[in-house]
Amino acid sequence: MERATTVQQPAVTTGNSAVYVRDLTVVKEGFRILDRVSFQVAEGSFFGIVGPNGGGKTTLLKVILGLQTPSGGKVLVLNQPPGRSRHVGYLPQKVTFDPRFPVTGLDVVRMALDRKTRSRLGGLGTDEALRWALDMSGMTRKAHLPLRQLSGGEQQRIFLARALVKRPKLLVLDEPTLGVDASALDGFMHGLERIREDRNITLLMVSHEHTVIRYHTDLVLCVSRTASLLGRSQDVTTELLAKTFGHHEHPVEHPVDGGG
Amino acid sequence: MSIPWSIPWTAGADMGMLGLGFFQRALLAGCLTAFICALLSPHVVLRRMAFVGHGVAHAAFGGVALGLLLGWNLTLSGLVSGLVMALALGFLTRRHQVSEDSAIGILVAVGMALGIIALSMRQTYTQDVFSFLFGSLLAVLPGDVPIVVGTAAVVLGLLLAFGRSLWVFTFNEELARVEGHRTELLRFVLMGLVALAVVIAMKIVGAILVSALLVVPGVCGLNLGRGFLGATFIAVVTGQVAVVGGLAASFWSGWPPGATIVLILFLIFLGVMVAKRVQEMTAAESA
Repeated sequence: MERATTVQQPAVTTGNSAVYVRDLTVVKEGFRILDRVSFQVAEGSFFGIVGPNGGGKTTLLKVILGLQTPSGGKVLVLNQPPGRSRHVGYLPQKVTFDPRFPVTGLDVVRMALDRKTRSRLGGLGTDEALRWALDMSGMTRKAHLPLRQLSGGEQQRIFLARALVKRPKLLVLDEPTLGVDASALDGFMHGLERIREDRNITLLMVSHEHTVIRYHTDLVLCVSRTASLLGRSQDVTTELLAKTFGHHEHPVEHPVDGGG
Repeated sequence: MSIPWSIPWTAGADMGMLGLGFFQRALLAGCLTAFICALLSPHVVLRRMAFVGHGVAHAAFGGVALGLLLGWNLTLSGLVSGLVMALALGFLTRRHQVSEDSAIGILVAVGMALGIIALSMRQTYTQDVFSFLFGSLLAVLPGDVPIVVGTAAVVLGLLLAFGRSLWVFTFNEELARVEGHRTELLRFVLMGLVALAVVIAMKIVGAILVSALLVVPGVCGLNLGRGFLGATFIAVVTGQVAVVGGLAASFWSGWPPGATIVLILFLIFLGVMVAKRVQEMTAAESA
């Protein structure tokens, strides 16, 4: 497998890439999780990341979010070091929280709006931001319910609204469709497309879902300690993905799939 | 071993000499203490920090015994050793080198060991130490009042400054960090707040029973309250009822105050569990 060759000219300006990663290496407890990974995510694009379990996808996202310190290499997120920009939204694979925590869905979305943001937006602006985020994630009607009464997929959409409410320029999604059932998948993905068109948000998504990767993303990167660009998503066939994942891990082919 | 708490106020003559000053001090300290413990209690329950309070209390006991040996102010030496324990716990568990329960297991033992050695070096027996272990109505000395009030003010100030961040942090640490909260700082702030609350609570409730004041109000609040503020409000009410009731019962019966407060807390807890059960059953019937 060839190493990623997306960064053809190292001296190129990073002005119009939302994420710039060059020679990123992460070593944890003596294990080389990521080895000289390089790629760029163009502003406004929908960038997919695939790869086998334990291949370092989540670690890569954590570096980009500033949750994991890299051992080497250079990473810029919205032209700043990771963890610095306030314009990054994050939807984790599964948000762990104590089910006894007494919150409504709306409370959870509101958590993202700190004092500074609220005073900048003002009362009306804050309400408008909340309404927009809930509308985009399709949770307007159920937002007032206690979080523990919502289904897994609904909770995930509340967390999507939380990631959106500050109107990020970059939205990082880690397997967001894992808890979403087949019937709701299309709606969820179309929501993401809408968000992207509406706000010109850059989307960076890790996913196992073949249909999601194939029909929604622009470019696909495979991360398995090293990174290789698989190319434009239309060219990414099931066979190529299966080969990439190896024999142990097959990408999920969605059972109810009307697309394509 | 004599039972230290039974001496002063079963002998009725002493009580007259002391007047009500000691009881008013105990009531003031008790209510303030229960108030800040209750404010922290939902965090302690949701973040599973119950044993942090337990550990801090034992470390503080070590500090008190050391202070007794060296002639320091006991409340202050307890406060300092409790804070040192909270810091040590924070650093030990920071990078997950040591799990929190193991770290507490180590530090509790070290705190007690230091206390026991310090006590063994003292030739005379004193009751003070036992009042820190089991709590006493007489433990709040006139000089302690400003320390208790000051500590409560510091805790309240920090809660006002960090309250919203702590709410976001307790719900989910990772999202809080991505959204720009300084989670390392918040972790230490919360540990420090628990340490402060525990040390001033220790005077009345005692090191061994103090974690009840941090846990039971929060459990009651989270079971009955709507929203985080509602849960906190019920926690505060629970704490106040237990402390006022416990101190009054202790005053009239001569029972040690800490144990009395804990028993009242337990009765409230049972009541909440029954109420919750009834609520669920009626909800199931109507559905």
